[in-house]
Amino acid sequence: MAVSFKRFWIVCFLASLSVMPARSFVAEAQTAQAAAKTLKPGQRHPLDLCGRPDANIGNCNHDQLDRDPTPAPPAPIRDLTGAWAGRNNSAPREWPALTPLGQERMKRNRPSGDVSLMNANDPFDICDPLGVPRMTFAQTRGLMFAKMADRMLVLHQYGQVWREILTDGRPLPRNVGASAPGSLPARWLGYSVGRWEDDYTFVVETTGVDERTWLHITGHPHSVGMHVVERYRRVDRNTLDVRITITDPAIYTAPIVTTHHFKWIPKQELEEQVCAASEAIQYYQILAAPAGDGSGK
Amino acid sequence: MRRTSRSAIVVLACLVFCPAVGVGQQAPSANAGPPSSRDITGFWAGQSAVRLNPIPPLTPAGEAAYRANKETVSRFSVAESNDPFKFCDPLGVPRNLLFMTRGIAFAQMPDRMLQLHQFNRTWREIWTDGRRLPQSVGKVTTEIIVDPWRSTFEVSTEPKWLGYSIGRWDGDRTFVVNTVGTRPDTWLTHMGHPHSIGLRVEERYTRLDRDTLELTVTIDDPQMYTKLFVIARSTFKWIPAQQFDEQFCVPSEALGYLKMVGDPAADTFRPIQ
Repeated sequence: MAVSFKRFWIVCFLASLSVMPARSFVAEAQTAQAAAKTLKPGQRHPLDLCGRPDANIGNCNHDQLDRDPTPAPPAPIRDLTGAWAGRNNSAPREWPALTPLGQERMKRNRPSGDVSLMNANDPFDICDPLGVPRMTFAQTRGLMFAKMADRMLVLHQYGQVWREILTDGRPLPRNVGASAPGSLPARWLGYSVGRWEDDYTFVVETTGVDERTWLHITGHPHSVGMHVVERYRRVDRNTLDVRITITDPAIYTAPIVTTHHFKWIPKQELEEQVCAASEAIQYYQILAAPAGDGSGK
Repeated sequence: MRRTSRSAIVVLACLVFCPAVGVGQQAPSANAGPPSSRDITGFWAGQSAVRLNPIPPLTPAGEAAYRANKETVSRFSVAESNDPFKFCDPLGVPRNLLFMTRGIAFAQMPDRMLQLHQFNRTWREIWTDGRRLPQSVGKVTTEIIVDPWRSTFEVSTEPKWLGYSIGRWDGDRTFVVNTVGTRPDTWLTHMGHPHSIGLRVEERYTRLDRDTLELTVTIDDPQMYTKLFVIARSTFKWIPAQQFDEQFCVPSEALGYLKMVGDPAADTFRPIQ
């Protein structure tokens, strides 16, 4: 009797596998929305920002979206508008040799991975602007693009910061940070221009970034003459392939390349992700400051 | 005299650690004719600090919160101040509409209006897809807003620096924004006026003519203030070159200022070198 019941349930289980629909976010979202109507008082809404039934509300995960096998609609033409989930960190993994000036600059940077937090000076730790290109491949869990007539806007989830990429055909400035009259000052976000290379590839060029920004948590520096090229290729409605090339001959003996990837967020919402310096300072005071810091207090 | 010098210190602090960098290149004006209706997109210039109307009497809770906010305008030094602006924390809504408003811009996406600030390059989204505001920010409620045809806010909703905003057109010239759910640790004004988590803000942006945008900000916070009031009416002008300066409040620079000038005796944090 027990054996036949066991076989019965095994057969049922195997049969159910054959008819189980492919896991898709759309189907899950519809199921979850229907379930939400029967929420009990105090029960949390089951949809997260990705439109997935998930108790971890608020964290739209690029990797999980990337695993969705649902075929995506085709890419719209010359359009990146919308909210995208990226890998949190897609920084370069290989770095070329530094020039003598580059080595000297890098010695001034004390990454928080190398020294104790109280002795580090990574501007990220105190919520300084990340700058370009660091903000294009670090802290990139959420990103949004919006179009204006003469520029593309990039709205960053991290730091709630926006970038503008001028698309009115003006050239990239050449005289940033120079001492000659009429030259432009360096900026935290630099100066960016962009254009469509074809119907699905948007290319951004940036220069004139303030030298106080780092390229990565490793402490890699850059000069104001650094030239960054970002290529955003919309593969389909849901996928953005990105390639970032950094050229800075004053600091590096060769270009630096990294790739990145973004997925369309079904619910088209980002989280609020703000770096508040007062909270960072509290953290350092409570956790990172050594017990005897020599202050006499 | 003391009041003037303290105000001067605030201004000096801002000038030191909020550099405004001019843009050298100019572009021709993009707007040659009268504005199309229902359009406030573009870049607008305002005053750095908006003149505020008299604030109505506070409730007892409001008075207590106001006393706890040590502002630098008249009562406290920078060293004594606990103004979150001191360390470049986000101003939040609605303080970012009343203070550091030399530049605001609007851009339209299909489902939301974006407001862009010159100060700190902060962006803010104002949903125009017909969704409703969350009803109870900061606690899990029994109210469930589920509509399969529209996006919804979470039932248990955390307050945000910028709150939750929805927008709609009132006629062809006025864009109305309603906001709830702003973090109670942001200040309402630079004079230290507080707000609660129950604050409701209404902004009305009226395009008076092609070059002029008038903003009216109304505050409704019965926990803190004894009545609803219009806190300010300010005017923005169309920027011909349609460009902002870059204006960041940089925490490491703020700390450097505090170490040298504002609060040299403190051992707050070793500033970034």
